[in-house]
Formats: sequence, structure tokens, C-alpha cells
Amino acid sequence: MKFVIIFFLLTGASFAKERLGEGKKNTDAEIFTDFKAIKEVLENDQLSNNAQKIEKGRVTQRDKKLDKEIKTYSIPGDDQFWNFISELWVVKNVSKLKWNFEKPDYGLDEYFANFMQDLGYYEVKFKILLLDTSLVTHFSLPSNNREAFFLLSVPFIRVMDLTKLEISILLLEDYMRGKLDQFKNKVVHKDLKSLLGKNFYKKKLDMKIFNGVLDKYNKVVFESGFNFEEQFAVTKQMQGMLHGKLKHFQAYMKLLGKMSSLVKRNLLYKDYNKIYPSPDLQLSWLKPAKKVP
Amino acid sequence: MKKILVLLLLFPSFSYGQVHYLYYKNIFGHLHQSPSSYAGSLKTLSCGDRVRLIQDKSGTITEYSKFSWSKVKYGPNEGYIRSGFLEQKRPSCFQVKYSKFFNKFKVELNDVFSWGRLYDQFVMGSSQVR
Repeated sequence: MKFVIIFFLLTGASFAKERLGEGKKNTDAEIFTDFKAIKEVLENDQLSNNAQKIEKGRVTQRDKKLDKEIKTYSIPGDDQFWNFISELWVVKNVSKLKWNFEKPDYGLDEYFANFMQDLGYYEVKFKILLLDTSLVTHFSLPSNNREAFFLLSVPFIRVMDLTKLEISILLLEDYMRGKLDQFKNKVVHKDLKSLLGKNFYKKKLDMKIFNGVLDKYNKVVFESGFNFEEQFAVTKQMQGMLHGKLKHFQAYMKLLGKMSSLVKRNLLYKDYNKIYPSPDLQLSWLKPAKKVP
Repeated sequence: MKKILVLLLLFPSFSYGQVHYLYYKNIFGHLHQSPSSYAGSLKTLSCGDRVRLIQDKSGTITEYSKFSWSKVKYGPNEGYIRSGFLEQKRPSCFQVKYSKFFNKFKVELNDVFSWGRLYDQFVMGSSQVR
């Protein structure tokens, strides 16, 4: 009897095991063959969305890097180009201009600032580069907006024994030339304006244009200077500016007289009239016309 | 006590006072041996170069004035730069902003040296509104 019960128990257990095995096999088969269900589950897990986000992030990073690279090919605009090119020219001509020398403090910074304030020129930044040569007497080089860049020869001011007021008037005259763009108009290249403020990424930048500007600086400063028309324009501007200030106007007349005398008696400055024609003519333009009685 | 020691280790600057860094603002410049525009150059600087303002033992800032010279440390060198040529924040530098354009001009080493000298030679000013 016992053996029969054990026999039935064993056969029952094995039968149940088989039945279980079959069910499990069927469940596995359902899972492994039904990929669509799995795919839907995965999709619902936002994995593809995440992958897209990562890819988008990579593209944005790449674009930012490219944008940064493109910006390095920018050309400065008119407001920043001129100060740079003037400084570059001055640096390249250090041996001719002789600006790297030890000199006393003439107190020009404070005096000229006050002088400009008196005339109503406010918030004008200036830098004066003193030169130890008579080759270049005085100039205003192009600079950024509301900034002035002056060259001033120490031997020139010493030989005429100019006062601070006379020096300031001389600088003011150069400042007027700058406001009239007289120097800039002589050195600007016809293609330069179209380049300033642009970008030359994947393009060839024609350096002949910029080197041409530097060459023209040489020509204006050392050879050609300004013409009579330009001198007349600036003299009339000065007359208008100083007309109400008798002391300043008299100092301007005296300055022109000193320069006229210097040009006539000093061989070192015989070519001054080539650059700034001519102090005598300027005096005649400033003097009132004689009335016929 | 232990907490204070840990804090001191983590933030060493607090143990001596704040370290001040300044940035050079012109295109090029020089670190001078003494506070004079004509003093010898220890090192050439470029725009954006960071220098450390030297402090005295009491931890207060010394020789820093907008109208004078600042004693600074640049790398291993200690020297002087005009205070007006230094800024608290990193400036916008021409040769960085327009780097490819600037490089086209082939500025040589002696040009860099001269350009640095140029700023020491300028007589600079500005007319003000009263």
C-alpha cells in the first residue's frame, strides 16, 4: 500500500513538473518572439529621445565652436581700426620718429586737457607722443572716435621757445585737421571702407590694402603733407574757434609768426612749407582785410 | 578647533588676506625694474596678462593708485607697472578679438618690445566735463 502511494506521488510530481515546464516554455517563447512589445517598452522609456538630445547637444557645441572660430576672423570696424594702424605705423617707424627717449614732464597733459575744456571740447581722450627729431614737426594721426593721437617734435617746440598755450594751440590746429579728416582722406584706400567691420573667414584678405595705408602714412608725414585748400579750411576753423577768445587768438597769430620766421632762417625746417603751406599765407588769411577809405 | 584648521587648509588665502589679481589692458607693455617709464624691462606683457598685486605684511594693499605705479608679480618676476594700465577685470583685447587679422601684420619681436615702450612714452589725458 505504501509503495502504491509513493508510486502515485512520484508519477504525479513528474507530471506536474512537465506541465510547469511546458507553461514556462510557452511564456519564454511569448516574450522572446514578441519584439514589438519590447520595442514599445523601450520607446516609452524615452531612450531614443535622450539619444536625440545628446546628438542635438553635440551639434550645438560644434556650432558654438565654429562660431567662435569664425569670430577670430573679424576685421575691426572704423571705430577701432584707425588707432591700431596709427600705433602700428609709429612702432614700425620708431627709428625715424625717435620717440623712445627720456624726457622731462612738461605738464602738457593737464594743461592741454584744461585748454580743451575751456574751448568746450569735453570727454576728448588724447595721447601725445613727443619726438626727438626735427624730421617730423607735428601731426595728428587718425584715431578712434573722440580720441586724438598727436605727434610733437621736442626740438621744434624748443627752437621756437613755445609756451604751453602756443603748444596747445598747435595741437588744437592738428585736432581740427583730424576733425576735418584731412589726414584720413589721404591715406584711406578705396577698398578699405568695404572691409572694415567685416569677416574674412574662408576668404583671402588682401594685405596690400592695409600695407598701402601704411605706405601712404609715410608719404603724407615725410613728403607731401597738406595742400593750400586744406590749410585754408583749417585756418578758418581756427579763426572761428578762437575768435571770441582774444588771448588765444593772439597766441595763434604769434605762433604762426614764429613758424614763419623759423622756416626762413633755419635750414632744418626748410621743408616745413611742403607739409604745412604756409604760415605766412595763414597769417594773411587771418588778418582783417584793409578797408579802402 | 579642528573645523577651523580644516577651513584654513581648504581656503589658504583667508589665512593671509585676499590675493588681488589685475589684468594688463594695453596691446603690449613692460614690467619695469623700478617705478619709472624709463626703467629697464623685466618682462614684456600682452593685453589680458594677469599680474598679482603685491601686498605688504599687514595684508593691506600697497602702492596701488590710479595715478601712480603698482608693484606686481608676473610669473617669477616682481616689478612695476603704471596703475592706469591695469584693470580689475580681464579687458577686451584687440589682438585677441581680431586675432587672425592682427597676425596678418607679422608683428616681430622688436615691434612687440617697441609697442610696449610706446605706452610708457605717451603723454595721456582727457578733457572732462566740469
